[in-house]
Amino acid sequence: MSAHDLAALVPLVILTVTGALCLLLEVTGVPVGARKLAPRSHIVWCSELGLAATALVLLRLFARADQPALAFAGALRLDRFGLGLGLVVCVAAALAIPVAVGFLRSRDLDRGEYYATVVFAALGMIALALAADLVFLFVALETTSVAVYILAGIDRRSSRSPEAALKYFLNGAFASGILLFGVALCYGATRSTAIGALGPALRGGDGALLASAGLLLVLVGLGFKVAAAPFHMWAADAYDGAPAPASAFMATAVKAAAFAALIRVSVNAQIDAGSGWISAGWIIAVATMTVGNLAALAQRRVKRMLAYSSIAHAGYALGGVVAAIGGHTPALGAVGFYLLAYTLMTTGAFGVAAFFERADGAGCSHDEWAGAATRFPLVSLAMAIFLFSLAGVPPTAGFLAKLNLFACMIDGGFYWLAFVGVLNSLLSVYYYLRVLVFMYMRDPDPQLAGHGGAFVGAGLAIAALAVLLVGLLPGTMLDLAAQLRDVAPG
Amino acid sequence: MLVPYAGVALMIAVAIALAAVFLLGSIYLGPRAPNPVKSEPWECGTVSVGSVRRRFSVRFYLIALLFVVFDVEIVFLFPWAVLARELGWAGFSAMAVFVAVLGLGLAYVWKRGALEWE
Repeated sequence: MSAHDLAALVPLVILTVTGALCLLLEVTGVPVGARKLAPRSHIVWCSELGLAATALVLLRLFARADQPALAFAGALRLDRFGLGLGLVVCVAAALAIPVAVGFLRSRDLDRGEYYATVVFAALGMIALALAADLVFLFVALETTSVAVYILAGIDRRSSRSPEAALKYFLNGAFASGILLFGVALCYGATRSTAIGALGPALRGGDGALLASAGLLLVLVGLGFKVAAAPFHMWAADAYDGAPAPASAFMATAVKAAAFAALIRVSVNAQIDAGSGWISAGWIIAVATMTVGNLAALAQRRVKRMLAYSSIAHAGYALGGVVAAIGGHTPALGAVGFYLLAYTLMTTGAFGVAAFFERADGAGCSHDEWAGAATRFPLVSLAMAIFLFSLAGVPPTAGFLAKLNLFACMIDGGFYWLAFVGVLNSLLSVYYYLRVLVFMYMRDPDPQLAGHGGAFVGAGLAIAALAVLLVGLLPGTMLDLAAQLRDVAPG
Repeated sequence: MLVPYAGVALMIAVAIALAAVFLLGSIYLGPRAPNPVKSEPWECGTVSVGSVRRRFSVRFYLIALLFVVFDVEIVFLFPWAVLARELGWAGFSAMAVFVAVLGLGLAYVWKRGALEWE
């Protein structure tokens, strides 16, 4: 085992141990030191500490990764791109856990298994972000997916949650099948499962057609996972039906990790700037943002609106991916930064939905949120910050991320893509601010109740502050993001 | 280009032909003397009771899942056991980690009460 192998293993082992500890703490009873805390607070802390430790290790590896290195015979690639998106996954998981606590307690779902599943899913996602081999990528993707199916169906007494889990599972299983078929074709074309072998095979020789078919199927499989149109159908039902705290995690962390894999595969394919792949890519990007935005306009439920909004944001990010495939390397950092901003604001917005959600998905519609600002001023303020950020209003992280991303598209020569993106984000202002109209300008609904608590408050506060801080003082984050340059084989 | 696959095609053809011969042979040559008892669905030699469309306890699934997990463990343990000496400490430590993870899972399932039938 080389030093790189060990380095790659450390974050994964920390998360494995953390998840196992969460499970064991659930069954062994409360340790003496934790008797005075609220039930299962120690498990929340355990998972948070594990994620924090993982994030620290990833940061340390990030600092040392100026020379990318392969680990485990090329299964993982320790480069700043993968490590950076691994950090985004850690942030998503670390925020999704505290905002879940209030909802879970109110539905008697507050069990160690929930936190362990989130941690195991994060483990799969970090592995996915680092995967440099198609078989390893598939195993990481399945580790992620299986854990997230469970999270979607965790509220098993509700009528909506199992439905969401089943829809997500069936679509996800098809996507995995398509992806695996693509992996098989790629292997047939390149005689190797390394992602880096795709580029040379595509550029000529006997296997070029086979490799193109394989690449297409792998990208379609990953397109399902990021909910790109026309593979987005499952997303609205899955994110709306799943308990809001699970949606907060599904819509952010899964997307960040799947984007990492999508970018690694598509950039390594080294596609010619003038080829049909690029046109297909930007048609899909435009379709994704437009479909997401148009559908979000018509929604009467905040959760469902956020689900479509997550599709639209996947579209913007895909635009950045297209610029990166087209050879404009800074777009990689712009997409990474965008995914971080998106994670902060979407986890927060779904976290507010989790604050209000009651049994069977009640408490998540615009009408039910009427006048929320008079009764829950702080939570409403946080929601206002998240929604302004999602809409791309300065001085929030969302504004800066969009600006950065669209600027990259223009620099890369994708003027129309940037133009459609700006039009789309103008459109999105309507449905984001409509929620605020309901919350701030309607008479209060006495039925509305929230489940707060220290964890939920801390989670929402940290997310809201992070959205503002990244928006106001973006220097460090942009510098870090600018280092996510290198995904090609080295 | 396809010549190397001729053997596979031949094997598929022979397999289909053989299956067809057996099935058709038993249909045309076999004696047939049905009676009510013979026509009943076969259930381990006993008279069948009730419908098959009933609900089963979820414990069956749990036990089946656990069985699969430990079955797979055996699949990994046997080849290792055969080569244990050659693989040395590296193989032993890898196997120890694997068994420890499974043991942890078993401890969790046990404490959670999934193994209790009542």
